[in-house]
Amino acid sequence: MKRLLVIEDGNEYAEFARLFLTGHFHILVAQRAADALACLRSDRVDVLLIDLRFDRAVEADLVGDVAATAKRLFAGDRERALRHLQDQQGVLILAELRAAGFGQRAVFIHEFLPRRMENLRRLYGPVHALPTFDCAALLRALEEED
Amino acid sequence: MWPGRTWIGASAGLMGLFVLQACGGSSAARDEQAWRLAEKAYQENGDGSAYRLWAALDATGPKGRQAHRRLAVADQHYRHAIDLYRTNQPGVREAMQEGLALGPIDPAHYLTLARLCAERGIGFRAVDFYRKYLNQQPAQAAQARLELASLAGGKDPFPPLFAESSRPLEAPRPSPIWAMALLGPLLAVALVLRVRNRRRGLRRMLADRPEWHQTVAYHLGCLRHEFLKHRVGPLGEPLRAIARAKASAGEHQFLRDRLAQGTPLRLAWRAQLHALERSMGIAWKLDSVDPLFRRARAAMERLGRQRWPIRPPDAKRLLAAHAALLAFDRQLSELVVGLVRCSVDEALLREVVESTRSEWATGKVPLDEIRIGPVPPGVEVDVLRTDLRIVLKNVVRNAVQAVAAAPTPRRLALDVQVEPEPTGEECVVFRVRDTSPGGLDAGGSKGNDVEHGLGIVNTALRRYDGSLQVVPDSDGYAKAVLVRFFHSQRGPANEDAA
Repeated sequence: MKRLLVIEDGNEYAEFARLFLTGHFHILVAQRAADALACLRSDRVDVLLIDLRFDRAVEADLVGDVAATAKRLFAGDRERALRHLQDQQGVLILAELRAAGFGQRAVFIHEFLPRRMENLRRLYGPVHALPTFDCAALLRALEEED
Repeated sequence: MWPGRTWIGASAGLMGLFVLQACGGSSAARDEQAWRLAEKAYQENGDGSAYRLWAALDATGPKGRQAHRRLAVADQHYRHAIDLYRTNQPGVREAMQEGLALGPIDPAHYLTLARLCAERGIGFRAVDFYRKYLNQQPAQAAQARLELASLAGGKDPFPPLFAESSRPLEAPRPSPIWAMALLGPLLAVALVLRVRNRRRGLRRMLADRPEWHQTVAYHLGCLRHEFLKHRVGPLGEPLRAIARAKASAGEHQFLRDRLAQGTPLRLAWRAQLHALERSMGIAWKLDSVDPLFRRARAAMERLGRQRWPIRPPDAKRLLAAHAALLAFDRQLSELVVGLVRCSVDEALLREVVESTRSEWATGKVPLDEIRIGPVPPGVEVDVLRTDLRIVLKNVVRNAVQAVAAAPTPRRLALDVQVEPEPTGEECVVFRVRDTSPGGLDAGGSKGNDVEHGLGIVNTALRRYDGSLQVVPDSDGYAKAVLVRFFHSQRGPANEDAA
């Protein structure tokens, strides 16, 4: 059976996956980049299901430098920079995983716009996204070969 | 004549200022609090009534000093707009908006505006300006009332903020007394409620208040993400399974966890809406007055009111509510897209440079070369065009003033680049390069010094998620000021929401 790594700060994705995808995948769960990397190094993982926003994650667990982001993008506004890193954390975690050499297909439940989707594929290879939790579409996205 | 609502608001604000002064406390705290009152009045009323509060601020305190400077600079823009209008030149709306971005208008200008509009046959706008003028109880009230009474279309050049008052009422048509007696009050109440609710609807408010767009887009994004995507989105699968009578115990439990456990649906919904309402400073509930939100609330309430275990017929009813909320999500997405969007092209850059060079102090600095462009095609930012012009004009003004003291050749260049971000988003970078070796202190942008304009720049950068950086440059340029904003997300949905 294929192995699916769910990466999210809460447990909604994992619950959904356990309920609707268990017959198709063995489910693994990580709640931050470091856990995901550890899991990928110790287990075989075939596909990634990643939440985009990590609203509940604390600063120490986030990928990205809050101060540098504040200076470069938000006129020094640290709070806004922190929110940005939380809002985009899923992609930043994927960047870390790719940088560490893990190229598994990544699936987001998110309505990425076409231009951004193109950028993500250019940056990170096999990336897919679905606008909603549609079980059949999600299964297709997770099981397709790139 | 009854005093206007905004006049009452301003009077209450002034009373607040007196109370503040009477109550003592540290002068810095008083200064801060008085400023907050004045700023709130401007944000809420957005017209001349706030002017009294701003003008009454103590000019010896830092906030008061800043307010008085802003009033002075804003007044130059308002006067410029009036001159343009008087001489039938373009740019009235832009000049007005530049003034509005800084501070309230001196109500004395309303009489001039009213007369100019009356001359051009823009009756409803003239009436509006006359009323705003009279609301301030001015010296020339009698004459203005006579002129107002004589008024009975044309192209309207003024921004929406100046259109808050109602249009002149039509004379009532004669009707049977009994019908008037019975139906009149009811119809009047219904009409008042309908008009009031329409004015309180989100779309209408957003049309009048572009300064809210960024914040509203963010809060609608939170509502879509937290509530509609995470809480409501996953309900479809288990509901369909129950409707087909094929649901497992796990799927029943999954539904129960989302509909009956944790924060009740109704409270989660209200918390999201409350954050949105608070960000706009409105005292009414959007889901009571706005049909879009009212329908969504009804669907949400249907989802939250079910008996356990859910039976197949109930699941079908709940699926309809679920579909209504997904439709609401799409409508929010459409509402948010394009709220604040500005196309960036060479014409914009040229307009910025020409406008800055037309200023007296900046225009007299001789420049050996001004390069404009290139700008990549299809660049858009989520920034009001007026605010973007203000930001860029300030940066260009600083650059011109800096090269004035530099040796020749004095060169200036303005171009645009698009930089990819690791998140897949893109940044639009406006690059203002010059040959002055003296660096602009980027830290200055943290202050609020209107004289240098960087306070305004900083406010706009924070409002629109932008940044300003000074970097050394090459190709004969000593430095470059980089102004960054996120590239607009094109397409049917707004990124904030997901």
